[in-house]
Amino acid sequence: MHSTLKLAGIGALTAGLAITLAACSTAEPGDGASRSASAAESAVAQPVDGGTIVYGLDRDITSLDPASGAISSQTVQSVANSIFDALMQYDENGDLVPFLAESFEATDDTSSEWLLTLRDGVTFSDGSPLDATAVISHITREGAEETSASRATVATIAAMEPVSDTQVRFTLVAPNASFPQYFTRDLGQIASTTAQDEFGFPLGSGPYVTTAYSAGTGITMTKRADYWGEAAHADTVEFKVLPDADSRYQSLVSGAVDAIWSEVPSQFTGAEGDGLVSATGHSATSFGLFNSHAAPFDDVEARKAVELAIDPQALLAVANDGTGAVSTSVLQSTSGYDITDPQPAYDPAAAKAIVDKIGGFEFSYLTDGRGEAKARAEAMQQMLAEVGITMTIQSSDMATWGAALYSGDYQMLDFTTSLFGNIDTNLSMLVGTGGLANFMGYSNADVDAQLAELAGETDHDARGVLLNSIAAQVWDEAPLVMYTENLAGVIYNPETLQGVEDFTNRPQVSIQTRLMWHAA
Amino acid sequence: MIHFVARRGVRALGVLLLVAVLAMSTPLLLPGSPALAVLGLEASDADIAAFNERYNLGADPFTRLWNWVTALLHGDLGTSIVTGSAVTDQLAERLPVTLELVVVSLALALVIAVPVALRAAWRPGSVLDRVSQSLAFVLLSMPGFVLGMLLIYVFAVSLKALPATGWVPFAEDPVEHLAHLVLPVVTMALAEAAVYLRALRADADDVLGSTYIHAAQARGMRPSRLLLARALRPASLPLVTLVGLNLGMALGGTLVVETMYAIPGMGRYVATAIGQRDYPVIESTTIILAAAMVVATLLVDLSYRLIDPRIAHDARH
Repeated sequence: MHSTLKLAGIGALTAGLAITLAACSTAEPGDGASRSASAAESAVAQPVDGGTIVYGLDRDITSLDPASGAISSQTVQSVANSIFDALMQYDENGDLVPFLAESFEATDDTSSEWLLTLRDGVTFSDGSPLDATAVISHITREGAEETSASRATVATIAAMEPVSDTQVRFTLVAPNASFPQYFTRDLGQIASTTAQDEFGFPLGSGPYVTTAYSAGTGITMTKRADYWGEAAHADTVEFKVLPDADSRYQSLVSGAVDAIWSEVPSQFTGAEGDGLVSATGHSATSFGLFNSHAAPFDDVEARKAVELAIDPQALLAVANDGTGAVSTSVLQSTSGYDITDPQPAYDPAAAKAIVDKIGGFEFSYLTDGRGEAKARAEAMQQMLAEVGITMTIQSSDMATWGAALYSGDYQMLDFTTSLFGNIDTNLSMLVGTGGLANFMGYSNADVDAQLAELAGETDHDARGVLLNSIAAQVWDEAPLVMYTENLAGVIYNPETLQGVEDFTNRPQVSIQTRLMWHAA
Repeated sequence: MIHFVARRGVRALGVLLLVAVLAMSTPLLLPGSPALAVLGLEASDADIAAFNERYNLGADPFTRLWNWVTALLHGDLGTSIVTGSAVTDQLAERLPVTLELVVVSLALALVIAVPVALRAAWRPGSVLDRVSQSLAFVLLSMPGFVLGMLLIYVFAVSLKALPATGWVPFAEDPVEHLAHLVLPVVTMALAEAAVYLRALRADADDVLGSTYIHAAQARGMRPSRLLLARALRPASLPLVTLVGLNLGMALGGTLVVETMYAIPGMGRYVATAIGQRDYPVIESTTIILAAAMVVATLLVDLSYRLIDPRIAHDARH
């Protein structure tokens, strides 16, 4: 499975980072505001309509149903965005703005009630209206399907009621000032619950409709003539399943495809030399999880010794080819918040002092078998040996890794996830007691209280203070150790493809094919 | 012959039964549950338990095998846990793709290996012999993915003569189908040809030293006729063994080529299923691949008796 999506469904649980609460401004689709260029060419070239864009996917897509979880991950948002429109999206500054929605506003002081207003005149591809009832049906289905990645999110909604044809009122179980952030992926990508395409997948309101689907090979989509927004530029988009990263890249170099999804650092560093352009974001974070319920990491001193002995800068060079950034906090560098309480810095002398005090120890480090994770583990092994800690590397396949993660059958584990990109909504999931992604079993009453306070806090600066305060408490107990923020995104040939957005400041890399055009 | 086939058939059924029981044991042997892949982070322990119960993942291998055989009699190989599609439908799409790859690459490998090996054996130490032996050695030492990347770089990236990746069904576009077939087939065939060439070259060398060959040569038989009519048959027993084993293993052994060239065949299908712990797919494909191996071995044994009747004669005495 892909590195940004460690387990099915995790991607769709991630929502936005920057919060735009009341008075979200409306961005016209295709108005160019979010089409700032990652290549200079994009800024000056005029869009050309027609032609076919060929895009290389990194995985097979087994379903085009948002509730299946198969298109909820970041890596395949290019497919999802072609068929479905999301209620909310991130603009080039990383601000959350309405897209399919006209507005999404809190209607009470506690952020427990929200009013969603839809655009007028939006239809699914069969011409049926995308109205308040359709939104409620979609969200209800997302909460009911066992494969849905958003069941836990839907469970935070106490009630939904149509106020009018274009308005839905949400009453939440508890205050949540970041509620609209949940609607940028599968939960916000409204699918018809009554109409399906010829392949059995629900219809969307997006700019393209599926005209060919072959599992293991690819998907072809054709432009909708009656799209509610500004029409897509390319007549057709062909998604090809190219699972091998190297040959996917060579397909791009050879001209067989116009763009590919990539998470390979060497491809980003080598793209320019091949006449290609990368449009990437800091879309995944790598970190280590301690099992604090078993020796040796039931001792906080042992966890801190490991934390201080690891040099994230060296890991960035070894595992990421120097691309991306060092991760210093649960707050990402692109979060829009100042990091005032970073993780304790690399300090091998301090680590050695702890080891001298508690005695040297051994532990096993579990990775999922990806090349970057192995390289990271080998570098860590050397760093830890220098302070008297013996680490053995256990490399497994994803299923075994996942089983160990869920069962807690590990001592320390390598984890890469996009959850940190949307820390406003996801921090409670990561470090809150019983949180869905709190695989460390971390529990701290003060942290839980501050997370509850964070959920109802609407002021950006106050949220920053709370987030840093929570982070500081987490560092005190060191249930995890942060490594790197990794790049992921699209690499494309600027001679054949234009209109690729800039993802530098966005918490998600969400490819929009409707904005791209074929230049040659 | 009938007795031989019957005896080998019974033995083959025993092997298949053993493999089938082992395949049905995989849910109990492998760590990890498909529930994690399907249900994701949202899954509670109760959800996972219910999921495992629904797909009967905790059942003993014999019960699973009985259920599988019963369903098979109705033409049903079960449903993929991950995709929800019928395994028979998925196999019907994937098996022909891999079969085409395997058969075409085998044919190409033999077309390359047989004449070169015979010619090289006819003139030991000649330029052809030395070059072909060296090339075979290089190809044998080179991992398939390296050879594949090299071919992609030369023919797709540099010369832009062939597509680097992808698969187009024949019915959709025959020309594009063939264009997409060339590089994966050549990648597989070159590696196979190197093995066949070395095996046939060594045995042909022995055969060509035989008295009857010298006698035929003394009678003025042309070299090409001598090689094909007199030397090839006795020298080909090891080649037939290798071809048979390759055919048996190739159905499941095309993972590297299928992944590299993005071909939707059996290799990728099986590998993905293992990664996702998609047990209905793992079980059915394991048994099918084992059956392919058993059939290939049986055919090899039968072909021995046709190539060299002394084998059948010896078996009777």
